[in-house]
Amino acid sequence: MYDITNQNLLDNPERYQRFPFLGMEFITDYIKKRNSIIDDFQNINQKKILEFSDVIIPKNKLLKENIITNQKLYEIYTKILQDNEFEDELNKFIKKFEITRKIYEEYSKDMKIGIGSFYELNNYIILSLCNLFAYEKKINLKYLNTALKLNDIICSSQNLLENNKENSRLLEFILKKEIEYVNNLSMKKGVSK
Amino acid sequence: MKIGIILTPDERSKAYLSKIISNKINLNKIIFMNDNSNKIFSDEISGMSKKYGFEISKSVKEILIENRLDFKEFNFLDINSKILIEYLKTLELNYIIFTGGGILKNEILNIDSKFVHFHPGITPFYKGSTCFYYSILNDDNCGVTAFIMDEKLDTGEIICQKEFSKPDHEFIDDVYDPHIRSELLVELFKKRFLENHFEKNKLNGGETYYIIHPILKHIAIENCIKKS
Repeated sequence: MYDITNQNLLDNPERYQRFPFLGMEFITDYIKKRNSIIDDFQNINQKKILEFSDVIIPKNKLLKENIITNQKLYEIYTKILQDNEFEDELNKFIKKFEITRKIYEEYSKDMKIGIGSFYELNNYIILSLCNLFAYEKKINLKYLNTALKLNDIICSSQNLLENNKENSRLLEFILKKEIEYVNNLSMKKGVSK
Repeated sequence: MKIGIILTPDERSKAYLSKIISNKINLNKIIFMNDNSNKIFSDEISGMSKKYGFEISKSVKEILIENRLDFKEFNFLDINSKILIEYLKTLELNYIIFTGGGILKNEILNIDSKFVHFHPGITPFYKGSTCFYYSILNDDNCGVTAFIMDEKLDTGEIICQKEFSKPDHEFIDDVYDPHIRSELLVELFKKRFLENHFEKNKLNGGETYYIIHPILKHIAIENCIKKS
């Protein structure tokens, strides 16, 4: 039913165009699939999360002229948590992701060109975290929408997470947050079972 | 004032054309970009479209021929085609109703005719993709904006806007979306909105939405079909 994440979405991007309506079972199966991924990762790591000191920025990538994705997303994340203005900067990343379905290691100063690998799942996880907290702050569905797509990619690329406990730890948090917000929205709209 | 329409082989064009015929709206030119694609619909969807005044199971060409409408046909589906642009220049239309066929590039936007788009959202609050689903989730209704297309996304001069109640069925993409857009199209002609003065949208801000994730889409549709 919820088979979006069955294939690697980094190599086979999902466009979500005119997705068919499959009924309430689709939502139920989505929650089941997401919980199953959480359960798998809980066996790997049970630590509490959300200290960003462990987000390592490789120094050799800190070039003045480029935007270092990992670093910039960390800055945005901090701004969200500190209630500073974040939307313009976050929106640029959302736009890039929504158009390409990829997050690159670096971007040109004007954000027009993605540079380096788009397989660094850590960037997708941090962007998802930013979107989920942005949704919590602004209650704007745009943010939850992008988080769902980012989390689809992350869930579809489990092979890149298997040997990375910190990513696993973050993944558990973002998936639980996402399910919580989806459940809250469903209840608000009177569609929960 | 000379007004034309460029049709494409899809549900939106079927709704626009059917409402133009049933409301006896006279157009100066009908152009049909036809790549001969044809989608098959279930009896349930077909029945629902009839309820809203158009027949989704009939092709655009069938509707045109049955109603003996004169039209110019092109065998491609590309709104930026040089052949189409050169042809449009010869027609000297004031307005052209846009139904689809791609994103308009500068070359076609720079011809003397203005392109009218019916966007499924109240701009500037709902710009971008699949706005009716966001509108159902946020506001419990849907909306359509008719505007003059420009080089940016859903920012053109607003001609008219209308809110609609959300549907009580699941056929939003194929039936309800074309229906509410075509309803505003009829109103635009009946109330002669194109003869009025309309201005560049002065409202700043709003929101640009991206294609809705299937989970949010399912919540929106379940909300529409749930029994109160």
